[in-house]
Amino acid sequence: MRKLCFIFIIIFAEMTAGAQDVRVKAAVDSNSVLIGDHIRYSLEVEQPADIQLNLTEYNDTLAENLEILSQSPVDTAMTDNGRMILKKNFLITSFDTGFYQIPPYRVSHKTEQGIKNYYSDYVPLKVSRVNVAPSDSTDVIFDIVSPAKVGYSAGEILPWVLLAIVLAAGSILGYKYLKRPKKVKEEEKSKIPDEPIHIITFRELDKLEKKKLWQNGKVKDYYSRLTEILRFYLEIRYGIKALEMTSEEIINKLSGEDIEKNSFERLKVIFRNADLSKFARYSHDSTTNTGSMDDARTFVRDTYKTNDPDQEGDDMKADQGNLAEKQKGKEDSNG
Amino acid sequence: MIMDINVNIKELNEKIEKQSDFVEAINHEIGKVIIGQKHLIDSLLIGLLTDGHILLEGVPGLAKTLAIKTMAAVIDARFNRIQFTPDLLPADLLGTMIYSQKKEEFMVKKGPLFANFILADEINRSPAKVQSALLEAMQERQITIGEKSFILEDPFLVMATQNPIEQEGTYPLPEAQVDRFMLKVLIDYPDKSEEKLVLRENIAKVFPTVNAIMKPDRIIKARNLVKEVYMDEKIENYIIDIVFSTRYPSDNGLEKYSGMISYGASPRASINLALAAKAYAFIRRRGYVIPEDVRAVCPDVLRHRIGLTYEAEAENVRQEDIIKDILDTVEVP
Repeated sequence: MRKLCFIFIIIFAEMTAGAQDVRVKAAVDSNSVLIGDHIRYSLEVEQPADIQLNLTEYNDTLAENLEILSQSPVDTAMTDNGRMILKKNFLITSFDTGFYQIPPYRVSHKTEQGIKNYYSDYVPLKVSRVNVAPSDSTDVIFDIVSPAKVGYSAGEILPWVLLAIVLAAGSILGYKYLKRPKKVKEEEKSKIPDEPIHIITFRELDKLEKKKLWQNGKVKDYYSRLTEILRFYLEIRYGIKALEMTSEEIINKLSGEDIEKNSFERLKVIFRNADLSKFARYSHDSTTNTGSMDDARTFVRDTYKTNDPDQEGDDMKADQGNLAEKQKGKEDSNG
Repeated sequence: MIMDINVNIKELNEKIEKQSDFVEAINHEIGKVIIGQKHLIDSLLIGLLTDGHILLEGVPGLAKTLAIKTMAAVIDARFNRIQFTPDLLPADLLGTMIYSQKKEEFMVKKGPLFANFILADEINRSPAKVQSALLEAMQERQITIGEKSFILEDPFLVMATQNPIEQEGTYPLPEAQVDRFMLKVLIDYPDKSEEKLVLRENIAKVFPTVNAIMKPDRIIKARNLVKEVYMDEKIENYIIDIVFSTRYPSDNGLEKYSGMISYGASPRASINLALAAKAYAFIRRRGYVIPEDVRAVCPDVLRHRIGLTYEAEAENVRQEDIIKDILDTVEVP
């Protein structure tokens, strides 16, 4: 009888213990995944509602090579029979191929007798790589595939075609523009009086004489104009830049020319008298003033006589034309 | 045959012809010692007569020192030569205060700048503070040591030299300070006949001596006369045209230089061009300025007052080329 009672107590205790039982279940969506795929690892803990369980917490790794990407908070639900169900999900992945055993999930319960642990089962997981092996052989190494060539569209070609047209039009216009001044020059040339330089000089000297500048006390202006006319003449006749040269430089330059001594001396005297009047406020007497005009005429006459007829070419005429323009400008500015 | 309506010009011309006789005497005396270098002697005279200073550029051995030393001896003036070095201090030029144990007080020890003629040899070897000290003395004509200011004796002429072939370890003068020199004179090698004479004199070791033919006072008097040299308005306009051509070359038909001149000549250039032209007319014993005078001094007055761009340097265009083209382009009155 005592033995029967002991067995009954044992069975009753076991039944009571069954009522306190905690069950832990773990599962994955699929036991076979590709490398890097995301898998859901679900936990379900069924427990009596009146006990407090401690759930194991994971941070970023579930087991070796099994990484946790995210985890949900614990969800609780009550069953009809007064028990409570805790649910928690982990999103996991693995970057290494192989067979893994997800270790049992542990929950613990602290009782008066001590800590009691409950575990889930192992969960197997196979992580396999993507099958990229070529169909013919696994040893063949292929080069990087070059970018595919795409043909040019009309929208791409059109701007270049337009640019080429604009450039061609610009070149043609530029060429025409450069050609234009030449035409103007030709027109100007045709307007140039067909006169030798000495004729122009004589005419300018006559004009100066008629102005009677020195007779009206404008001696400086008289000599300034006289030397200007002579310089214009010398510039064309001897091809020197007489307008930009001083009297001394002109004399030095002409000393190498084939000029008769008397004419050369005449020119020197004209320039000397002109310099004195222009820069030293000297006023020469009437004889000197008229003499300077006569000397200028004689010089032009003498030097023109020795002129080389070969120089009467187009260039000479062109220079004369420029001279005539310059003289006209001077006259205008002098009023 | 010349009838004079303005007696002043004729009188002035005669006076200048009379008073400028010392120029020939100076040339004669210096000619005993210096062979050639006429341009350098003329420039020294222009500097003396206009109270200006001269920057000299030329390779060593062209009688730069001898020329100024001889000039000082001829006019009986005090001469000092200062060799500019990197470790020179302003006090080495100006002077300093030294303690006299005997008198138990600080005394002024005057520096080498206290002379009539100064040869500042290789001015670009010294740093800016020393150059400034010299240039200030040149400008102010006085030197302050401690609390005392000393007026420099007249005439006071500084001839500074620069060696164009060595640029390493030098301190080039800033443009603003170069502008203070009235003339920048380039001296070249003597010609063959001149060099032969130099050779003979040096081998024979016969060096003529010069005599002091005048006192510095005469130069001071001549300066007043130089100011009186007549300059016509036409010449003034000619000077202005030349100076403006350095500033606006394209306005004067020199389009090719429009991108090559970083800065043109300053108004100080116009003033100095006029003064130098007057002095040149005086040296030629004339009482009025003619365009030749302006053209003769133009390169020396303008060459250090025209700034070149990198483009000009890349094209190998020098100030001399620009000045020559300007003179060939601007119409002579």
